[in-house]
Amino acid sequence: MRVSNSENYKKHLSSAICFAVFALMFFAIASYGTHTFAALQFEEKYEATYQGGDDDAATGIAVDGAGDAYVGGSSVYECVVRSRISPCSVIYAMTTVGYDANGRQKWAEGYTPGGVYFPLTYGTAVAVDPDGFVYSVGHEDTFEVWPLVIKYTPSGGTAVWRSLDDTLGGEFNPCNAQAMSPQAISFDAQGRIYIAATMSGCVASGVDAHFRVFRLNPDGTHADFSNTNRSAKYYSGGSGGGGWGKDRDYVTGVAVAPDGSFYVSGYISNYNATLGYSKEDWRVVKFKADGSLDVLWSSNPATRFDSGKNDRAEGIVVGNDGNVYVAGTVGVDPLNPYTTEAVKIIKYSSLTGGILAENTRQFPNAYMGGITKNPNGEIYVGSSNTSSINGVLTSSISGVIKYDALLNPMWLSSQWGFSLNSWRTNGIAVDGSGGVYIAGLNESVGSLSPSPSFDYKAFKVLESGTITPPQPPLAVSLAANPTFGERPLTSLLTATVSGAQTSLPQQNQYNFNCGNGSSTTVLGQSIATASCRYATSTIFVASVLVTDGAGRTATAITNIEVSDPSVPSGTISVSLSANPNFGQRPLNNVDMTAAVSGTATGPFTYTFDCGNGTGGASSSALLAYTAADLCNYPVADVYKAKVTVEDLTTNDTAIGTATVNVFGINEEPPF
Amino acid sequence: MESPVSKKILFVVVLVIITVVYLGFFFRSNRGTDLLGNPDKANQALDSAVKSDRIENCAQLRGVVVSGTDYEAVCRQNILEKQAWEKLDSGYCDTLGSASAVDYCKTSMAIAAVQKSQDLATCDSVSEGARIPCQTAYWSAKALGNSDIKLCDNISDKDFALSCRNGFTYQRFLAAPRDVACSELPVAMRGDCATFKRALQSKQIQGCYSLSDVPMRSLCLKLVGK
Repeated sequence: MRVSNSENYKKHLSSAICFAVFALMFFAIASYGTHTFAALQFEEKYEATYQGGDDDAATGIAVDGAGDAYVGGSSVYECVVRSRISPCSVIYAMTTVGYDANGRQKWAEGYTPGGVYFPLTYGTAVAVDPDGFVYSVGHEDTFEVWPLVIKYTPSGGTAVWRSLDDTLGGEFNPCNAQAMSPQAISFDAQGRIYIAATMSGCVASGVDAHFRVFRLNPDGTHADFSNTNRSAKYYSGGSGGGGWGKDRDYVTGVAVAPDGSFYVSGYISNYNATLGYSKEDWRVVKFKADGSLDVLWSSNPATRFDSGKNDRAEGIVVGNDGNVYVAGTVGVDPLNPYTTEAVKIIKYSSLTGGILAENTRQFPNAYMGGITKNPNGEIYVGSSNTSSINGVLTSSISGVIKYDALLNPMWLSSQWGFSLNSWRTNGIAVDGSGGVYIAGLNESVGSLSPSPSFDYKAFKVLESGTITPPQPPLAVSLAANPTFGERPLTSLLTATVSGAQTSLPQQNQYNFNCGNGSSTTVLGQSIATASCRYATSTIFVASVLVTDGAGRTATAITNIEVSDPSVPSGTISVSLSANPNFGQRPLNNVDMTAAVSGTATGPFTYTFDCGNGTGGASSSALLAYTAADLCNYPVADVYKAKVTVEDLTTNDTAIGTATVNVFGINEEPPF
Repeated sequence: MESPVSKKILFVVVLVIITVVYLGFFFRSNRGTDLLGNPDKANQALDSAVKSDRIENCAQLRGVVVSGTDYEAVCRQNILEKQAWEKLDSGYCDTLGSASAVDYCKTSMAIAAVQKSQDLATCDSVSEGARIPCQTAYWSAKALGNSDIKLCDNISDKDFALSCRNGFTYQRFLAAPRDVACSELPVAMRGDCATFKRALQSKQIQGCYSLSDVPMRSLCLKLVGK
């Protein structure tokens, strides 16, 4: 048989359409079948431990362009017999360790000024400048707390200079109880070094803890700010400081923007006359390039996040777009300072201090482990939590969260099984090729006396392909049609799945429960239906439980109101409506409106029953009557309100009903 | 009479000697310039010279300036500082640049000297600015050694005397935390002290981790599980 060109064309066209449809189906199925994080590969590079005593802590880490890592912190390196009271006084050294790109130790320097005679010297942060030099900051705590900054050669750890000797510029004149303790370090575009410190003043002089930022040139000389003395300063209590009984301000981080302005994160320990220092508040401030406080930016309420409990901003980084990311722990019970509720990260506008984005991750007993960014401007936050039973450490888990620039989580390290049991992360760094480096403590879970060691660990995440952010959980809604009617009533239940599915939609299983003792199970895709028949008069609560192919479940409910068949009442009928007819408890001041129809002319008596034992009666000549604010519902339940209307001329009566759905606090409305 | 061949040999030998001497001198005098413009090599040379503990090895860094820093001076200072601390020679302090650096160095050296000698007379020979800290170090050690806080009262300066008492109480706390009330500690440590005691009482090891004072945290970790 000869086939015309036209028929041939149609045949090819239909074949092409069929192919396209199958192709689309295939890709649709394939995309559903792809695991959310399948594109990620995790590779553990190495773990290195610095040999110390029984109380070593890495507090910071930095990585240079070659992948060499530098870890800073404190390490016990000796125990000397010193006195009868304290027979073994340990010596803490500000310790910096350099590692090559393969995790092999290049050098280690433990510094105490004067060796054993100054036994308490702690490291707090470490950084690498654009030329590869390593800076370690900390403080010496023997009689007063002296600030300390050391610049090391990257190759061998030789001290190029130390700033302890000139006390960071002569602005620090130690006196009793005065302390200058650097906590963070950052660089500007010219390679100048910004050191943020908490300065606690002399008790006698009435000056208390506040923020200080000093700036040094790469050769160790001071690079003073043009509009201040040697340092930039911030006091939460005003420029005069406070003294005992005033708020105390503690620095945690510093970051310099491309325009030379710089930001400091920290927290304010608020003083209460009754409770003393009882509450800590998140605080972020901005300084202009000349060192003066940007008062407008720093006064934005968003920079002072307050959960009502203790909140600490604990790290800061300037993003590639110039805006500022701050991470910290929030919701800490002031009476139990280790009961953190969540790790929070906020992106602030560099112009206003307003919030551009934020993300809160519930993480009980969490500790912050640093914040950093990669060359793409994506943000990494280290965190960990611990728990114990009767003093025995039962769990200590560290992890890393990666966010995109809008603070959508991209991955959690624990999602590929990397949760670092028995670790506490204190510092985090990344390189430009997927390497993530963390430093902290290695603890012995289950031990009565954990012996933290000075550790760091590096791993690499190969982010090939498209990374799908973690998605919302499975969710389902349920609707009935109709939702009310006289018995016998047949209602069609429709369940609609929403949220992210990690399995094929045709694997969804819906278990419908009509609420009258009957149930049915159906397989569907994103939508499924079931029919329910109700023979008795009451309010039925129908429900659906959906289970997807991955075993995840979601539920939803809805109400169906079935009433008795209407009884003819001569010439009068009435309908009742409630406003509002749903809401969270307590649902108060609900209006009841009765509308009479039929041939009745009135006057009428309207007798309302709220359905919870309360109500009221009124007379009116009108065909419609509203009893305003009549009903209050303090308890969550489904209420059947009723009105009885009587035509006082004919004595005919009619009844109308309405449903009021009161649900609990934090519950979603069941429709 | 010497043969022409001998003359030629002699000429070649002399030429070789002159060349070797010249090249040796040239390379010796230009070691620093080899390192110029190569910070990695300069850093490695500095590391190597400092580790050698030989001051003469710093000469190879002559003229080498990296990021505004004279590497020969850095080398010399590292070695001299180490030697000074080994001998507790405060004369080294006078070589430092700024007045505050000199003061800090002399004070540190005096404290180290009296702790080593255990003799209060050591403080008589130190610079005036270092005298009170030196005496404080002496009486602090004596107070701890004799378990007698009243020895701190021998310090004439009231701020340093308070520092001595605070240090004594702090050490007493670390030795027997249950015997010391938090109100006895310096104001800045009372918060940590309260947290420490709550952690011990509740046996919540997380409480230890929230302590900012490092020795206190270490002790808390040791005690809370017992």
